[in-house]
Amino acid sequence: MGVCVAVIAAGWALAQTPAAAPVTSAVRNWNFTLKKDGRTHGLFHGGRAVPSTIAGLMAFDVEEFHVDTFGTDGQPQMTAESPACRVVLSNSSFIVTSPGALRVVQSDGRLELTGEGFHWDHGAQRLVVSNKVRTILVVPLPKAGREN
Amino acid sequence: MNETKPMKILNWVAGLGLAFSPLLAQEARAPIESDWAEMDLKAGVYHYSGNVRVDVPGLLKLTCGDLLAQPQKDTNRLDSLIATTNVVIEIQRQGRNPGDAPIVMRAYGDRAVYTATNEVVTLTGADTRIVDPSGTIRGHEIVYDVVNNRVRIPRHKVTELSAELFKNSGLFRRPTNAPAGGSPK
Repeated sequence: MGVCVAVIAAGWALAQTPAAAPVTSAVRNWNFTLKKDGRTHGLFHGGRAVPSTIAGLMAFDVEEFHVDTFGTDGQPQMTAESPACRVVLSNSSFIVTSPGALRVVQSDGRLELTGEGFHWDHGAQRLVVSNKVRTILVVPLPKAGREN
Repeated sequence: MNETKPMKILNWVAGLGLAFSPLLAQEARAPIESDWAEMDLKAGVYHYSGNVRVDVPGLLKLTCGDLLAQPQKDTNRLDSLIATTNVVIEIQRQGRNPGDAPIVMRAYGDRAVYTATNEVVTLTGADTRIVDPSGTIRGHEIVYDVVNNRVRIPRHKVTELSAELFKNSGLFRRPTNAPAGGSPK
């Protein structure tokens, strides 16, 4: 169940695991692809990104963060956006955090979540949104009620 | 396409409203607002906390301090929905006759629990009550059968009918009791 994370920036690329890569200056057009068992699970990209190291792990402070996630069948699942956030990469997963805004949209448009301040642990599959959470669901309703 | 768990929650909430009201539209945009939320996708548990408000327009509104939704084990179906702290469920239903204003019913309690196994909502708390224009029903425990659209109050129950109900009934209209011969002088 290995997870492959490839980080590619304009004029700058990482080979091997991201944690082993050297920390360099800010990059533009930051992006990486999350692959698992040969399938693409996430396409990440952003504008300016400043790399750093946190507890031995590679981290990026990313502006204009955007991710598209895909299910095991390859179909689009979700899109998430944040104007600014920190992405911490490990060999097997990643964590995205920010005190700022988050917007998540389900690919079929039937779910939209917004909020401020979030912590997304992809490995634990846990998303915490700390403030002003608003989830909008498009709920299909049957044509007739069951009024007695 | 499989429904996501939040959608199952809202489908249930919408179903609760539909039990009381014929449908107004085929789809509704239903917002859930809260101060804080945690989505544990692995466990399938969704937790909303702080000023939680669920609104299925035209059907119902649910407000509470805390809302927890859990799925059944080994399935993707909603197992339970637990709303706690100042729970208010407001349900709109159509008036008796076409053109009548909708009737709003509000249920209050400390805790509302929906269980999928029997499709029952149990509302409990120190001041549990259902209020609608006809009056107020109080009970320590109010059980709402979603499938059969019936409310049951298994223990102590007090019904307070609104005086408005009898305004034109003559039931409590008293005669003037004036003596036939007029007042003595």
